[in-house]
Amino acid sequence: MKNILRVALPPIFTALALLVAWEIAVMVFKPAAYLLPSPLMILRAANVDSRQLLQATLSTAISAGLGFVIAAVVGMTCASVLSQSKFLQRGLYPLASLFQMVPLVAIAPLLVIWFGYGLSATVASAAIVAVFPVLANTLDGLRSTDPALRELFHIYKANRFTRWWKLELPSATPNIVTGLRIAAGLAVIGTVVGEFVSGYAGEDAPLGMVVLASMRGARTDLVFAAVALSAAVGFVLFGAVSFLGWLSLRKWHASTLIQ
Amino acid sequence: MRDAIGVHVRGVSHKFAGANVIDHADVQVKPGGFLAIVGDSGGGKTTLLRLIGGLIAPSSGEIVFTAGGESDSQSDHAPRGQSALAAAQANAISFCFQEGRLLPWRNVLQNVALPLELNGVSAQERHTAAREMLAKMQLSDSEHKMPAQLSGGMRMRVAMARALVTRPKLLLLDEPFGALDEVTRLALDEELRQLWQQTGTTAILVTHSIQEAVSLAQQVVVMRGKPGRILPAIVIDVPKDAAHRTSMPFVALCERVYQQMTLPTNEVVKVTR
Repeated sequence: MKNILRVALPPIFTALALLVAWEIAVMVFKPAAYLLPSPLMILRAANVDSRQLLQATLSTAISAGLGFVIAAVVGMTCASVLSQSKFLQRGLYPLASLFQMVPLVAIAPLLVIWFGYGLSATVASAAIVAVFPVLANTLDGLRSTDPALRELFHIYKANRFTRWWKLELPSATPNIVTGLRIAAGLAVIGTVVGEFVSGYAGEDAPLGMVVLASMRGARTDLVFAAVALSAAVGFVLFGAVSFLGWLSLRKWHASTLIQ
Repeated sequence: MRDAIGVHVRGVSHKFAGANVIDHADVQVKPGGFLAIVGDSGGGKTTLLRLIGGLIAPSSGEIVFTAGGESDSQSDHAPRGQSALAAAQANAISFCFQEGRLLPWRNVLQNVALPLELNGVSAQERHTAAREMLAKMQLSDSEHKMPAQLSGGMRMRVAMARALVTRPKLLLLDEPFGALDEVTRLALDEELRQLWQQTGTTAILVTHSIQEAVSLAQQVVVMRGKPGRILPAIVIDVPKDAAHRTSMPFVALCERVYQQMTLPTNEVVKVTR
């Protein structure tokens, strides 16, 4: 408990201090509300539109969550297949890295063409940005299995599947966790970008649409509120993944020791 | 004990990346015997052990396994319809690596049971067999500990338990205690000697410690690089108890091994021709 407080208190304190400074700066300099609303103004606006904002947050969270899960499954599966074949690795991995260089904003319109306006396009957008870090980190982990342990499994006549399941995958867990943590943050970014392009208005408009609509209406306070909520979605997803990672590694991996 | 197997390495050479790592190695160990291989680092000792263990194939020459006792074939002990446990224990060869190489995400019991698990032995049977092995080595209290919680010496002992849980007929040890402090090392040497006697397995130990080799083995061969050549074997005929370490014959044998290890290279070529 003491340790948790020691880790959690400094960033909370810093964040509060920054918010107070922001509030004071707005009180002193009095900028136009559409340029820079104060934290309290944002909070008030969010409270007024709380229903719609919650709905939007839920919608974005569902899309980011689904995209993340798809990226995790696809990334780990592809990495596992690639790790079993040098040929496939040489053939496909460079293409995967190249694919990663294509800006998401540029392919987002394609996703709308293929998936139509709505949830499936934003999920696809989230999955596409999040898949590469999972793939790359998992593959790295699978390939860096201790060669002596591979020999051990060879001596006891383990087949490929057993070696993967009982040796390579567990020893890659720290890398997989790293990949998933990066992917958690990216999934939210991918979702919001997807929403910008393919978002849908109406009752369950997601956060990306709230940002666009509020911007057009010069409701900067709502833009801030939506941005903060999308950051919160990312934070929760990242936190959940980190916690699961910690659970799976705490018994044996050095990274989980609290210094 | 069921019969151990002997090993006969005949004119084995091994090339790696075009260079000769081992040149015409000839060495023999009888069933139930204890052979130590000492020599320079990078001299091909580990490669020879890996060749014997079948992890790599020799470029030329052959490695023949000989059965001891009345029976001459392994299949006598592995009749059809045998249990998975019996089949796993028909697994002839076990390895013990430097620093133990335990799976860090498994506790002691799961690590020791691993070889049986990989051979399809049921959870209950393999845990019983692993617990027996742990009890034999006074490791029962550490059953649920993770490798990271163990000292280097304890990790090696668990690794030995894992190597012996299949009741191997041939135990290959690759500098098992090389990274340990002297006191722990002497204690583990003694434990290994007792386990070897109790199980009756054939043992081949690669080490860079002359004392360790002479105090454990019945026969010591020196390997000199490069390429690795094996000098004529030295038979160790002093009693195997703790008191002999300071005796004259023990010291004299260590000296003989030392002389072979420091022989000028041109002399090495002469003796091995």
